[in-house]
Amino acid sequence: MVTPVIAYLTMKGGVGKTTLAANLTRAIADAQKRKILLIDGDAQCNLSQVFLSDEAIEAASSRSLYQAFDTAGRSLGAGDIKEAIYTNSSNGSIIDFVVGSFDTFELNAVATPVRQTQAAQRFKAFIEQAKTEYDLIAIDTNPSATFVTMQVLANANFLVAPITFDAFSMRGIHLVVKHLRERYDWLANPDRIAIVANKVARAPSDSELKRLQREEDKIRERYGRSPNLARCVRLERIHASNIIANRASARGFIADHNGSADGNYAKVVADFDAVASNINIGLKDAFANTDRPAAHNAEGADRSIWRFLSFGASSH
Amino acid sequence: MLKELIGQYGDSSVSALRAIRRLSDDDFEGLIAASLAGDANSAKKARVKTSGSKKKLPKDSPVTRIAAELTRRGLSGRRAQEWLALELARDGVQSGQIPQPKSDDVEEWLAELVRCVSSAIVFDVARNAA
Repeated sequence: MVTPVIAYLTMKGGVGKTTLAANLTRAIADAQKRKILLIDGDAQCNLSQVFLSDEAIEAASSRSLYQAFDTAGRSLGAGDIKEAIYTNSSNGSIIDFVVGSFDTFELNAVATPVRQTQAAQRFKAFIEQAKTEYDLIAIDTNPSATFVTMQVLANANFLVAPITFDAFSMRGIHLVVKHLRERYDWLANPDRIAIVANKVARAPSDSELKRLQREEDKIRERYGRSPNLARCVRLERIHASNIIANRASARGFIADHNGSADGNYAKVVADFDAVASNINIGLKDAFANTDRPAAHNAEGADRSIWRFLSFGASSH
Repeated sequence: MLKELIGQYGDSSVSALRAIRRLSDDDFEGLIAASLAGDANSAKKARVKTSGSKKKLPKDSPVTRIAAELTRRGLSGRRAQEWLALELARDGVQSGQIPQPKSDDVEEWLAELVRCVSSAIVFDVARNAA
């Protein structure tokens, strides 16, 4: 079975990529036994700050994501640079973490094309090696077409894209799915994309609910052509919560704050569990059920594309 | 005779009779007395309690939204479940992933279904299947 490599990405900042990357990874680990490598692929290190102090991030600069790209040193595996951040004592799942690096800025801004090519090859080798050691790899990204983000997409095979139903948030997904699927063919496969609504009102009024559903339908209509990406929009949602908005309480996994007496933590965790359950079904569909009939794709004209894209035939 | 009884009262009633045989005389008389004491009010309360005991799903939950699409098509109960099961199979979902309908409760069946099949796919089929 192919190892899933999930990219948490849209081209809009502030929609919840980092929050989802951290807490969905945890919920996925809690749902069933998995060995997971979580990588901070954003030079701004927001995901790293969820798990480590600023001092610890600084101290880890010699064993961070940058080393996975660095062509000067010896070949590194995940074991050389990972931090162990979570073990589920009930099911045996573990999450290892690769700290982000400000130094990857250099790859974006000043590296020569030759150096970029070498760095890309090195990162590909790093991910390929990690695939043999882990059941799942999850990578948080920067919301722009940086060198690192593009390398993540080149090596990923599943996209989780948070959306907040504002115009720019939807445009952020549109940019990724519409344009980049021509470059990375797995993005044309609807089984490989999960668009997850974030910051949705927990108890919306009827009019707010209708507005949300209209916005959701806009995405479905926009992507409901070739192939059928309409069903990428997941119905399970992450609801708005002060717990998520409050950075102090967002330190670490939200599931670890369960001691709160108000019960709101449990609701937030339940949201992540519901989305993770849907992602787990999606991963199973995308990577195990490779012989799904062409009829799964709604448009007849795309059936040959579906067969072409079915996994196994794809290089990722 | 057993066949005749099942035909007239149903298999669960016949099984219940068998369970009653195991009760002591005191327990049996106690249950009869309790049953006779139940008046119309308590029966009404029990009905209200039963209907209210089903957990109400949030109106934007995946199950509620899929059920709304089926209702929009004029489908309910077993007919809705059978139609959706057929359309999902046509769509390529493996039959082993689709639970058998156990009752007329569409939401209960959908809740079981979306544990195996992505709710986004179920929603899309419920909304767009020809």
